[in-house]
Amino acid sequence: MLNTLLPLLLLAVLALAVVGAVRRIALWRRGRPSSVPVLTGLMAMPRRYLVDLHHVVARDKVFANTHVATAGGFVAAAALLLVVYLVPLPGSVETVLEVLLLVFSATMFVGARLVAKRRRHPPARLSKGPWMRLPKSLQAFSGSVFLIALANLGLLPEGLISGVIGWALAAVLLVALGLGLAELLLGMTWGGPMKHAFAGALHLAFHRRAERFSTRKSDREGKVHRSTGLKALNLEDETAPLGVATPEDFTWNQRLGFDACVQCGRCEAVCPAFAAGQPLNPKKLIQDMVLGMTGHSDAAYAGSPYPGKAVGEHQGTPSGPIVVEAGGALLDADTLWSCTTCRACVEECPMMIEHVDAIVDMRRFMTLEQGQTPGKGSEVIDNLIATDNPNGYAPAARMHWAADLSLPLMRDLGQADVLLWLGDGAFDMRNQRTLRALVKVLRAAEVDFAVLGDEERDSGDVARRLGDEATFQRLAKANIATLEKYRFQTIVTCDPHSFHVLSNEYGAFGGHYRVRHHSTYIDELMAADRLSLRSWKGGSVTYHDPCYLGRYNGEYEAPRRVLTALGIELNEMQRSGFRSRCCGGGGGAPITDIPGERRIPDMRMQDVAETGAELVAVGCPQCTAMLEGVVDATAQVRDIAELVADALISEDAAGKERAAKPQVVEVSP
Amino acid sequence: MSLEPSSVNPSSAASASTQALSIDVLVSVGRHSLTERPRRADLDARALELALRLRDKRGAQVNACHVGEGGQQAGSDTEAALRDYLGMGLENLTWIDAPQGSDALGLLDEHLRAGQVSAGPRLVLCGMRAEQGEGSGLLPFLLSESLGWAYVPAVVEVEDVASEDGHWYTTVLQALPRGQRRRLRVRLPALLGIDSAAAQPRQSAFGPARRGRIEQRQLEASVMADESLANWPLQPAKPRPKRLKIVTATNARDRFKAAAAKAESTGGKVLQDVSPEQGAEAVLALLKEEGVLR
Ligand code: SF4
Ligand code: SF4
Repeated sequence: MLNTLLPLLLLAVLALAVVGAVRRIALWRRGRPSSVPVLTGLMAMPRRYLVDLHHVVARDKVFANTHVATAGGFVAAAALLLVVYLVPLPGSVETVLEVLLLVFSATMFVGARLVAKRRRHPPARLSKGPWMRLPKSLQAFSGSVFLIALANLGLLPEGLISGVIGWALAAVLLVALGLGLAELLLGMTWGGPMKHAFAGALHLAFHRRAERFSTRKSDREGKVHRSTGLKALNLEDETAPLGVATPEDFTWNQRLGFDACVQCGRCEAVCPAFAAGQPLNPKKLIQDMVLGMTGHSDAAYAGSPYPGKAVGEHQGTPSGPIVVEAGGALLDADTLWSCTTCRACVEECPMMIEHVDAIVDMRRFMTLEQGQTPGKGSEVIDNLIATDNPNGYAPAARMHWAADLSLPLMRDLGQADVLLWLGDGAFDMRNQRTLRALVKVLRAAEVDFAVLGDEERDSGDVARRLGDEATFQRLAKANIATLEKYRFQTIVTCDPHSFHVLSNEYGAFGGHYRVRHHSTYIDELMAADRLSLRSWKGGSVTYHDPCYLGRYNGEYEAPRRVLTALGIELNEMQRSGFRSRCCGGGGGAPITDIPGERRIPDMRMQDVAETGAELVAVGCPQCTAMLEGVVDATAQVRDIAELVADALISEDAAGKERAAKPQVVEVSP
Repeated sequence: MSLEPSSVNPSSAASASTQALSIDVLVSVGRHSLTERPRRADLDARALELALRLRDKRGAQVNACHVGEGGQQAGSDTEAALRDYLGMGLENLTWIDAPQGSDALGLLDEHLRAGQVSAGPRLVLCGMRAEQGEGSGLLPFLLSESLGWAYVPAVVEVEDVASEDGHWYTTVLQALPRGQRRRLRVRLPALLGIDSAAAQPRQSAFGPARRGRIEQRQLEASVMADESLANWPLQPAKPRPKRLKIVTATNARDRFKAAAAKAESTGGKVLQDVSPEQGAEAVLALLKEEGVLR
C-alpha cells in the first residue's frame, strides 16, 4: 500500500507547493521594480547560503550545528525521497539511495530533537505560535521517512509489516509523513515557519545589496564585504516616488526579503531602542511588513511586541498607508523614529534582511511627502537648509574655535596631503577639545594638512537618516563641488558619520575619496614612527566602538592598536567590536527623541561600569556627547585623539620627559 | 443653551457648508537672519498655518498670493521661498507680477476685490510685517483702509467663524504685552495681522513643494510706482555685538549647569513673613497693575 500511495502523495504535495510558490512570487512582484541579475543571482545563491549566511548563523555554534543537521538532512532526505519514489530506478541503485535516505533522515531526526530541546524553554527573543509546532513536524517527517526506508530495505521485523499491524503502521507512517510534508514542503510556499527556506533562498539570490556577499575572487583577495551606504532617491525625475507609503511601495525584492525572516529575534536581542523600552522591535517591524503584504492584523503575532504597544491593535492593507496619524495602521510613526540606525540588527540577522533600509524608506515618505519629522526634526532640517549646519549657527562662525591655531586653509593652499574634515563638531565646545587635540597630533607628526574652513558644510548624514534626501543631496553635491577644487590625497576626520557619508554615500554623486577616521590615520602615523609618545599612566580603560566606524566601516582594529600602542591594556566590554551597543546618538534619534523607559547612553555607560574601567575611550563626537551626558557616570569619556595628544612628548622637551599640558596647543608663528 | 439649536442658531450647519469660508493669505519672501538665504517668512508662514488649520477644521478655502517682481521664475529666490509655502500643503499659489519699485497696495486691492466669488465669509491673513524691504508693518493698515475692511493686528488664534443676524463674525485672540491675550469679535470681511506668538508653522515638505503650482498673474492696470520708497535711502542693518557670558568650567556637568541657569530676575518684591491676607492683597494689586484683573 505504501508504495502505491506514497508517489501519489508526493506528487500532490509537489503540485500544490508549486501553486503556492507561484502565488507567493506574484505577491512579492506587486512591489516596485528593482533590477537584479536573475541568473547570476541564482548561481551565486548556494555560495551566499553556505558561506555568508552560515557565517552569521555560526556565531551561535550549538544552533548552527543543529541547523546544519536539520536543514542539511532535510534537503537531502527530501530530494532522495522524490527520486526514489518518483523515478523508476534499477534495484541496486535504489538500495543505495534507500541507505542514504536512512542516513539523512536519521541526521535530520537528531537535528529535530535538538530543535525540540531548544524550544522547551525558548529564550524571549524567539517567536512562539506556529514555531512551537515546527520541531514536531520535523520529527514526524524525519521519523516516518526513516521507518519507510527501513521497511523498504526489509530491515523491519516481519511482525511489524504484515497483517493488521502492518496496515496500521503504514497508515500511521502515511499520516505522519503527510503532516510533515504539509509543514515542510507546502508550508514553504503557503506560509508557516518553513516559508523562510523558500523566501530565504530567493532573497539571497535577488538581494538588493549583492556587494554584501563574498565571492571567490573577494576571498582570494582577502576583502571584507560591506555595503552600508543608503541607496539614493532619484530626485531628478519629478514623478519618481519619494520613499515608501504603502507595503506595495517597497521593491519586490525588499518584500521578498521580509518574507525570509525566521523570527529568530537575534535583531531584537541587540536592538538598543528595544532594550531602552522605546516602541521598536526590529523583528516585529519585519513581521509587520509581511502582514502588510497580505493585509492581516498583527493579532496572531507570537513574539515580543513593540515595548509599550499591545499586539492586535494594528492592521495594514496591501496598498493602504503604513502609518496614519491617528494610529492603528500597520505601524505607528514613533516606531520608525526610535531607530538609531546602528545596524546591530542587520549585522546579526542570519537572513541578511536590511532593516535600516526599510526604516529609512518609510521615514523618507514621512519627511519628504508629509512633512512630519517629529521632535526637533523639522527645526534641524530647516537649519540645515538655511545655514548648512544642524544647529543654525552662522556658517562664518565655523572656524571660531580655531582662531588661535592659524590652521592652513585649502582656499589659500590649493593642495595638501591631508584634508582635515572637521564636521559640525566644530561648533560644539566639547568636540572642539577633540579637534584641538587632533590638530596637535597632526602637527607633532608634521603632517601636511589643511582645512576647508567656512567652505565646509554639514556632510548631510543627519538629514539623510531623518529621511530628508533632498537636503542630503544638496549638501552632498555642494561639498563634492568644493572638494573638487582642491588637491589632496586623504580626507581625515574625527567624525565617523562624516567618514561614512564621505566614503560610502558620496560615490553615487561622483565624489570618490580616500577617507580615514582619525584613529586609523593616527595608527598609520604610529606605524610610520612619526609620533613619540609617553606610555599610559592612568587607570583602567575600555573602548566603545562607534556604530558608524565599526559596523558601517569595519574599523575595529585601528583604534585598539592606537590605544595599545599608548600602553593601555584594554578592558573590553561584553558588547564590543561588531556587537558594540549604540550610544543612542545615531540616526537623528536624539533629535526625534522618542521616549522610552530608559536612555540608551545610560545603558551603555552601565556596560562601561561593568568593566570597572575609569575611562572610556571613544572616537566619535556623537558618542562623546551622549556618553558624557550620562549623570553620575563612573567613567570619564575621552576621545582617542585627546589621549594621544596627552601622551605626546613635545620635540623641544623630549629629553626632560615633560609632556605638553592638555588643551594647550602651540600656535605656529 | 437651548435644546433646539435650530431655533437659536439658524445659520451654522447648513449655511456654513454652502457658504464656505474663503481665506486669502498674503505671503512674502523671507530671508534667514544669518545667511540671508531666501525662505518662507516666519510670520507669513504662521498666517498660512492658521489658515490651513481652519481648512482642516471647517473646510475653509485657502488661497495664497504673493506680490513681487516676476521675470525669471524657475530657480529664483522668490520661487524658492514660495515653494516653501506650497510645501506646507497648498496645491497652488498666485504670484502677482509687480515691476520693480511698484507699490503692492493697488495690486492687492484689485486681486482681493476680484476674489470675492460668493456671499460667504471672507478673511485675509498676513504676517504683521515683512522680513525685507520696508518691513514697516503698514501694508495691512493701508490695505484695510482701501478695501474698507477691519484690520486686527497681533492675532495669535482664530477661534471661530459664525454668522449672526445675516452677518459673519470671527472670534480671534489678540496678543498683548507680557503674554496677555484679548478675545475680540470682528465683523467680516476682515484682515488679520498674525503675531509671532501664533502657532509654529508646520514643516514644509519637499514633495508638495515641488509639485505645487505657481500661477503668474498680471494686473497691469493697478501697477503704481511706490514714490515714497524711491525717495528713501536704504542701507543694510548691522547687528549690535553681544557680550558673551564667559563660563570657566572644566567638565560637562558644570557647563550644563551654567548654561541651564535661570536669568536673575530684576524688580519685583520678595514677600516674607506676611499673613495670607497681605500676600493675597499683594498678588491682587499686581494683577490689577498688570491689567489682568479690572
Ligand atoms: S529579521 Fe533577521 S534577525 Fe530578526 S528575527 Fe527575522 S531573521 Fe531573525
Ligand atoms: S538599526 Fe539599531 S536601533 Fe534600528 S532597529 Fe536595528 S538594532 Fe534597532
